[in-house]
Amino acid sequence: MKRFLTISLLMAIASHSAWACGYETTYNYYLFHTWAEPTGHYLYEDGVKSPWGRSRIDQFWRDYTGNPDCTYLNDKEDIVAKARQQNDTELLTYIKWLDTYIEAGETLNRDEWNYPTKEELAQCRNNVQQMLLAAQQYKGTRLRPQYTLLEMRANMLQENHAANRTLWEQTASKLPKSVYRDLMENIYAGALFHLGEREKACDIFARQGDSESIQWALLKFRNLAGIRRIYDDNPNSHSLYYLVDEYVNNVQEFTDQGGFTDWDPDRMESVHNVAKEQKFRQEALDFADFAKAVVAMGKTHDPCMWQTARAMIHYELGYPGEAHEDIQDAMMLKGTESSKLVARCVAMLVETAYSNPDKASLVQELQWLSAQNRQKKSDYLWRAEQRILIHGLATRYHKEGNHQMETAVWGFLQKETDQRNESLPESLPSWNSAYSTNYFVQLENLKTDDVIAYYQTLKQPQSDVLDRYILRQVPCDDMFFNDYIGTCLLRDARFAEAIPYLKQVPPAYLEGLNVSYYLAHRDYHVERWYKKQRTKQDQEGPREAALTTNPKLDFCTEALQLQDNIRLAGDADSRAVLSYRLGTMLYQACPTGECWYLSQYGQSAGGYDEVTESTLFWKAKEALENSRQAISFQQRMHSLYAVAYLPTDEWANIDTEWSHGQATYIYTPNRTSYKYTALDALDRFAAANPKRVDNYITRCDVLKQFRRHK
Amino acid sequence: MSKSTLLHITRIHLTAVGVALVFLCGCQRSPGCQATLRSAYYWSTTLTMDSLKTNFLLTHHIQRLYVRYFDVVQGKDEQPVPNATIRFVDAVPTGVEVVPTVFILNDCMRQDVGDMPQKLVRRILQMNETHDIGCVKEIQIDCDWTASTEQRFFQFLRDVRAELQPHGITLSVTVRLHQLSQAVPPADRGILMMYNTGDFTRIDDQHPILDLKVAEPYLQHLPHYNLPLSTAYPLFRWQLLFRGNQFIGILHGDDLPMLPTDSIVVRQPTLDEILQARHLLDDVRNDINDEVILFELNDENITRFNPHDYETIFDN
Repeated sequence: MKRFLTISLLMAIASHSAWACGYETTYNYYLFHTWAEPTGHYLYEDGVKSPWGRSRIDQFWRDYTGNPDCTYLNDKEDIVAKARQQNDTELLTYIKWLDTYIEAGETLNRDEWNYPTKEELAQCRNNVQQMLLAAQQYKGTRLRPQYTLLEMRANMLQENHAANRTLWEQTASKLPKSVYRDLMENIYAGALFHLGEREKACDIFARQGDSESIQWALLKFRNLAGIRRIYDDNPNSHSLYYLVDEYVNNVQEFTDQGGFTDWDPDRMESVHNVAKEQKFRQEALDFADFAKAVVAMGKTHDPCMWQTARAMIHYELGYPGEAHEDIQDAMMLKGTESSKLVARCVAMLVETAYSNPDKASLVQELQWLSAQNRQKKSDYLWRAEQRILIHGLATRYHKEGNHQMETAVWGFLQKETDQRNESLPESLPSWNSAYSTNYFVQLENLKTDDVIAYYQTLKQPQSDVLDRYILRQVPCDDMFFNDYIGTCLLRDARFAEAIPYLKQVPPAYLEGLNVSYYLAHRDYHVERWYKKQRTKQDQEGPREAALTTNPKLDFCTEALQLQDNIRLAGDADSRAVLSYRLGTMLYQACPTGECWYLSQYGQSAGGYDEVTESTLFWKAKEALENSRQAISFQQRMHSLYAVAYLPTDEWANIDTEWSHGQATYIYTPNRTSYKYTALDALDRFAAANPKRVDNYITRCDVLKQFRRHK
Repeated sequence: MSKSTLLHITRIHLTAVGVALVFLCGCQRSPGCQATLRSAYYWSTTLTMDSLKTNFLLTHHIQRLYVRYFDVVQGKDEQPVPNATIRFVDAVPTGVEVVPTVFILNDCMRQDVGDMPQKLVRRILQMNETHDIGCVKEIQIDCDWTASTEQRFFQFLRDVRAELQPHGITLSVTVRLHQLSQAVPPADRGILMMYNTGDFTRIDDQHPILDLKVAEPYLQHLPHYNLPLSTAYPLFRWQLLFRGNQFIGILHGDDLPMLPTDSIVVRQPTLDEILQARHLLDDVRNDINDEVILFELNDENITRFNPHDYETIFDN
């Protein structure tokens, strides 16, 4: 069962957004939650903490001090001051014993590096005994629940579990409902566990949503055998909600992770552990059969939960037909509110994978889910919607090869996200987040023609009810798409096609981009190999500069004009000069150029790797190579230098040898490399014209290095 | 007479016997006697000395008890932290020397251990003081170190040893069979663990606790192993749960849920196997059975054989 633990840990990580190179959101949420939210919140009770949540315990102190943020641990001095001010000796005495309990808990924790001395231990035990007596002798009514809890805590520290069982059963359980009584019941459950009544204890842990305790107490029961045993003892044990949740979610995790893999040291790669996967799948299918049997036996009060679990297993293991049948049955069965809600969400997910879904019904359900989330009904429903949209619908469209609808689903989710966040204060008011969403990442994955087709799809009426619903949810901002499509076409060096789109984008729109400062302050005519354009740091963000024209449009117009002029140029020198100008500006607009913002919305860390995939780069290289045909000495010199500058491959492999702390670099030239050829041409040119070449060539350290090691 | 009074009298009586034992043992360990020093491990999380255990210690003249004080595991921030610290409910019978033993998870040695040597020694000394465990002459470190953690673990041992030196306490380490072929740890002596020779998760491994055929190849390193060695022999048994051929877990009572088709297999070394192991070691290295240690002292293990059998293990 080690895998279960591992999987759960993995899930704990996967459930949260994680930082890698950047901020990455996952949609790998557990859909099957019938007992409690993993955050400790009960389903449908957002904002209400679990019984042992500090929030509920501290309510007493908040009420007492009138400070809505008061917590006992942080604001004890204020609490004591208030009690003294009011001469509240009863409370001051209670505080003294409460502190005794907290200190004793620390001293008696045997797993700290600092081990208590004999005296400390004796003092602590004595204090606990005094605390116990004080609790037993308390005659008041105002703090009766607190003192009874204190008594149970003292018994717990003394490991007198039998006393706690008696105290709860005879006294504490009869106290009015409160957070203190919940805590006492929790201690009572712990006592039962120590007294060997595991099932009864776990039932309480499960009912209270105490995931930490139940995880520990049922560690070895998180499998089919464990579920069967608990069921055999009590078909309606609350522990079953916990165990079935764990089981189904582990199967979901198994699928999400793509099965089990082991590292193969010979192949230096991860390989599927087929035998382990088969066993896991078989046990999951056995669980599905067991769930069916449980429903058939009729002993459970919540057949909906079991049938939904069966549906989830079939869905996750790739049996959408069976899952569809199961979930339709589940919806008709009785169950708790949580089970019914989970069944409803699972039904949506299952339908996205089903071959012949009732699309009209699915749309109605998606509408309901969306409405719930706009009202922020539950964190669970929001996670469910994300999973249904991304793991369900987007996956369905992806499998069908319908990348436009797949992208639209991401757009739908983005809209939902934006609407949920509307009431939140903007965390980065000086940032245009439209270009850093997962939806935008999806758009960036499309080829330019697919983006154009997607834009058209967004505007066209659709006959399919599901497609129509999704597309209606996706915002279609014409200005955004005109700029975006124009930029994509510019990126592809399709300048003539880009111009009609970019013409519709006014400078004011571009001022709203995060690259606004660059758009206004950098010049794509500057020869990158001669000059580095310096701009102020931290200038990214919208409205950092005013624009009078659309630089992207200017760029396309000029590039197009240059291309025409090159074609029309009568002599080689004119062609070379024009080609050099074209190459200069195309290079600046490519990913490693200084005007990358013309073709992108943010600079990638991909750097030189990315440049090899850039059309602009290859076009720039071609133009600069052509310009080397110049007859003019000056133009040839510029062109040879520019071509030698281009970030292509490496002209040599450089190894480092260390000796006595000194590094020696060993050059092994790659004489067939592009860079070698370009540098060699420049070197020969410089050698042939030693008195005529400019200083930037004679002083070029790269060229000097090349000369030494070529 | 009340039950508590009876217990009290029994304890006084046993204490008196214990004092007599110390005298007797002192004679047995004199240079001329050449008798085997008799010891046992105590590996539970609660130290209780019921009459069974106390009688066993007395009857078989056990002079030394290696008591697991705590484990060291990686905490939440990957820093080493104590875990499963023993709870002293009863005292160790007077006259029985205690060797505080700490099991360290090998993973703890995969990164810098910081000031763990100091903290570990300070903690052990404090535990001795708090629980009136006197005359501690040695502490033991148990760790399944590997080639990748050897360097850090050995440095850790050197540091622990340096910390112990001012207190006049020596350091011993456990030595697993596979570690015999590796570098010798910097300690004063070692305890060869003559068990866990196989893979108990494999249903076809009939003798995972003690299989002499598996152990024998490792023993070639024993004559030249440059560390004084004693040996620990297994008394324990495992009840293993298998589902088909798949290992599910070790059974402790009924703590593992079972399916009707599951099977339980019991693995335990026989007395004959233990004695054979003892013979085999005697043949390879003279000093190795000068001290014989039983793993481990619990009610089940000390009632598995008849008293004469335990005597045979000690004295052969």
